[in-house]
Amino acid sequence: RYSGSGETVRLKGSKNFRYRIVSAMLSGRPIVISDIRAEDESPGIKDYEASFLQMVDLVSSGSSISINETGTKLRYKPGAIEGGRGFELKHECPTSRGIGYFLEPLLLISIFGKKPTEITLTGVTDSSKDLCIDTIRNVTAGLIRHFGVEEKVSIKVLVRGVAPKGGGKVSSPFLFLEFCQPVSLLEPGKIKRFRGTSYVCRCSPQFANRMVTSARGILNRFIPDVYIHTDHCKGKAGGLSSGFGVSMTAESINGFVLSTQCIPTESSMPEEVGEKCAKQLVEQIAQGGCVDSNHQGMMCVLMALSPEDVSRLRIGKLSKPAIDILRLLQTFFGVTFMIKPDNKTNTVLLSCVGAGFQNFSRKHC
Amino acid sequence: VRALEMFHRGDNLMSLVYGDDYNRRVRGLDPKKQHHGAAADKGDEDDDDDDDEENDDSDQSEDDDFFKIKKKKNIQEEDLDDDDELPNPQVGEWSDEDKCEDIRNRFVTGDWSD
Repeated sequence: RYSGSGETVRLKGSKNFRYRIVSAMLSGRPIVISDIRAEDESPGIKDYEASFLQMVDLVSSGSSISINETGTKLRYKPGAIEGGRGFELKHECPTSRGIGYFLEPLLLISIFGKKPTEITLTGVTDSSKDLCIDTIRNVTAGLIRHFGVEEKVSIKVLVRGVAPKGGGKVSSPFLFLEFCQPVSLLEPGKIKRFRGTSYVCRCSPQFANRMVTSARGILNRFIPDVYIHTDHCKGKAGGLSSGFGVSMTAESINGFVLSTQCIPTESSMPEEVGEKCAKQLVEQIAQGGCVDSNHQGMMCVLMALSPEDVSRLRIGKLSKPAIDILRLLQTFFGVTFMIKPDNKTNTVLLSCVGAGFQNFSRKHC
Repeated sequence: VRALEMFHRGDNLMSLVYGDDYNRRVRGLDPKKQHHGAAADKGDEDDDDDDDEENDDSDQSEDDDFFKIKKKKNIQEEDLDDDDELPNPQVGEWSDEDKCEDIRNRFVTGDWSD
């Protein structure tokens, strides 16, 4: 069983910053990251990384963070993951990254917290760099149910806000669990329906319909059950900037959900956005995994934390972030995954023996 | 190209992820990189283990030699590359009806015989 203590982990560079911190917190091992953008024109940690550390500090107690003057070296000693909702937890995310940047690791941290967490985040709800809020709400939060969280995590989008100014507001309660249970997710199953949300903030509601129409043009070729919800946020509910975007999911008969999202680049039309998102979704389906490429890393973390039993997961192509996370898990938890390509279906099978991680923030159990 | 072959041959994903010299090859796995970063890949080949993260102790002398490259790389590969972009799959050729036929059986309306 994993004891939760260990020597300091030393790493370099700003790569995979969030998951390094998350691994440090969950493993209880102090971490030193040096050479963070040391050669860059603007060296040191970025505002969103600093903000992420603040948020992490908010939900834990007894942690210590020290950063050198230039910000290129970080020393982080994790504390206990507290969580809590008795008082209102609030965090303001910088507009340089989406709320997804913060929410995704927070989900991982908080399910191992002492108490259930309820936090309100403000900032950009939908950003092209990070998982958008609809994806997190519909897919990411649902994935943890495979590991033994019974209830549904209901993330509320109070105000939607897009880049550059943001102004969105999201409140999300998170649950905690004592153990991760080992999973065996091998059969993705056939896709039974498509769902999605297309949203517009402070601009013509017609854009949402145009995105839906073009997406349907692609998806209806495969299956007639397509429903894409349109969310027209006007006035205060639309945040501070105007913009639009779409996120879609494909649900299989075995209960797996694949997702994609698309947010326009500067000059793209709503039709292009809808079409691109739909194509990406079909591409994800073609890969034949049980989770989409955006969620591979998170699944790996949860698998590595499960009890000392074998967990299996079938994925499509191994994504680059997932590879980084696999390496992190080896460094922090000593969990090495078996990665076997399945040539028949062109998928990859990941399997590992969990580290036997116990929610040691809660000593009594 | 080497990486792509590696992937298709597929027998070596373990060493791809955990092996010592994974770093350069791994980049090839990202479909986006394959297309966009063909030129950048050439540069990478020269200093294979320089930016290898688990191989922290790269020689100082090497650093000097490759200072320029390293600088570029640090920005491109080590610092920005991480989670700045979601690993969405590359959208391929879509006029192709064959491709649609290929995955038709992944849907409930497809063939259930297998």
